Amino acid sequence: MALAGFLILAVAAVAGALGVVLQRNALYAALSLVGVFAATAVLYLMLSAPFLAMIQIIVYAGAIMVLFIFVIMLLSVRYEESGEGAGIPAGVKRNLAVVLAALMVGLFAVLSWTFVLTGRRGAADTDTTSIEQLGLTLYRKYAFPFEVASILLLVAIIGAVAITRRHGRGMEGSVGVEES
Amino acid sequence: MTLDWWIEVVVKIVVVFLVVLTAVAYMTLIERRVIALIQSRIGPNRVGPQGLFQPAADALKLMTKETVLPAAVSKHLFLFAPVFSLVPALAAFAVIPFGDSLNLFGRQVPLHITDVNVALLYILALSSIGVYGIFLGGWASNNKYALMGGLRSSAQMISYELTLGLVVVSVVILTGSFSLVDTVTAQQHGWFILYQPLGFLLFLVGSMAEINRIPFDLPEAETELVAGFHTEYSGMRFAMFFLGEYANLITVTALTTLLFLGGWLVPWPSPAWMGPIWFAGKMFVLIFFMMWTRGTLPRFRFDQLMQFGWKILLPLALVNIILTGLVVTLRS
Repeated sequence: MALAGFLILAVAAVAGALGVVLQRNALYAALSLVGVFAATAVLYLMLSAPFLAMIQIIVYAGAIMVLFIFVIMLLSVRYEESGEGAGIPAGVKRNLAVVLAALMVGLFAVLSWTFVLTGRRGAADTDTTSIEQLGLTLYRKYAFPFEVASILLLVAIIGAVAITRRHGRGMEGSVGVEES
Repeated sequence: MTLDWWIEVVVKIVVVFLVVLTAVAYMTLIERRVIALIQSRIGPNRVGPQGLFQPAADALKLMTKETVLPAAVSKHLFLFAPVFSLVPALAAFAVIPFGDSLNLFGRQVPLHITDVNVALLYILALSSIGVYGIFLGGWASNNKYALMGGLRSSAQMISYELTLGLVVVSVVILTGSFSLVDTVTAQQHGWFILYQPLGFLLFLVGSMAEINRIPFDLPEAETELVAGFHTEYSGMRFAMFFLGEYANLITVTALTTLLFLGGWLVPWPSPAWMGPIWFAGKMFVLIFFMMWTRGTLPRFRFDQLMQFGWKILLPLALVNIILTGLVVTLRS
C-alpha cells in the first residue's frame, strides 16, 4: 500500500514538473509547481517527517509560490512565442535543453552508484522529539549559520526596498498594478 | 488499520462533515438575526418557524440560479478557484478535537478524526493554501474590481497570517507540542487566556482579518468593489466561496477555543459527554462576538488595515513571544 501511494505521488510530482516545463502559460506553470510541492509534501509525510511536510506547504507552496504568482499576474507575462525573439533560434534552445537534462540525469545516476544512499531514516521515534531535535540542532550547533542566513534575508529585503524606491518617493501602502 | 479502525474513521468523517455543513448553513441565519437585532429590526423569520428553513431556501435559490460563465475569463482557474477556497476550510476539521474519549459501542472513541503531532502547523498550512482561491478567483475573473479585491484580500491574509503564526508560537512555548489535544490537556490548570491575554486578543483580531470579516472586509466591500473577488461568480460557485467563508469562521473560532479557552475542558468535574457541549458553547460565544463586531464597527481603509497588521499587531506578537519565553524560562 505504501508502494501504491508512492507511485501515485511520484507520478503526480513528475506530471507537475513536466507541466512547469512544458506549459506555455506562465501562470499554469506556476500552479503546476504548486502541485509538485504538494506531492513532495505528502512524500515527506510518508517518510515520517510531518514537520518538514507542513513547513514545505507553509513556506514553499504558501509563501514563495504566492510571491511568484503575484509577479506573474502583475507583470502580465505573455505567452512565450518561440522563434520570435532575435538571438538563439528555437531549435538550438531545445537541443541545448535536452543535452543539459541528459547531463543532469547522467550525473545523478553516476553519483547514486558511487555514493550508496543509506536509506536510513531520521529519528524513528515520536515526531515531537524530532521537532525538538530540529530545534536544538538548529539553535545550538548551527546557530551561527542560522544568524548569517537571517542577515542575508534582511539584506535582500533592504535591497529590494532600495531598488523599488526611487527619487525619494515614499511607498504607499496600497496594493495594485504599479506603473513602473 | 483494522476494519474497526476504518469504520470508526469513516463514520467520524461523515459525522463531522455533516455537522459542519449544517452549522455553516445555520450560521448564515444566525448572523442575519443577530445583525438584525443590533440594527433594531427583525431579520428573516418568515420561512418556517423563526426562519429556521431560511438556509434551505437560500441553498435552493443558489442551486437554481443561472450559473453565468463570463466569456473572457480564464476558464480553468475560474472554475477551480472556489475549490481552493472551500477545501482548506473544511479540511481543517480533520485535526480539530471536539472532546476527550467517549465510550461508545464498547470501545473508547477519541473525539477527533486524527491527532497528529503537527496539527497547528497543518492548520496554518491550510490557511496559506486558502489564499490561492481568493486571488486566483479575482484574477481569473478578468474584471478590474475582482482583481483589486483579490489582490487586496491576499495581501491582507498574508500579512495577518504572520501575527497568527507568532501567537501560535507563544502558545506552543506554553504547551511544548504542536498537537491540539496536548494543547487542551495543558490547560487543565488554567485556560491559556489567563496566561496569554495579549495573545488571545492578537489571535482574535488576526483571525477576524484572516477570514475577511468586518472590520477587515475591504476586499469584499460592497460599496467600493461591487463584490470584490467574487463579483463574477453566481449560483453554486458563489455558494462555494460563501460556504468557505463561514466554514473559515467556524474553524477560526474552534481554534481560538482550543488554544485559549480550554477547548472541551469544563471548570468542574463532569462526565465526558459534557465536553463537546461546552466546546460548542465557547465557540458560540466567540461567533456571537464576531457577528457583534460585524454589526457594529465600520471597516478599515486598506492602508490603515496594512499598517495595523504590520506596525501594531506584528510587533505586539513578537513582544508576546519574548515575554512568554522570559516568564517560562524564569519560572523553570
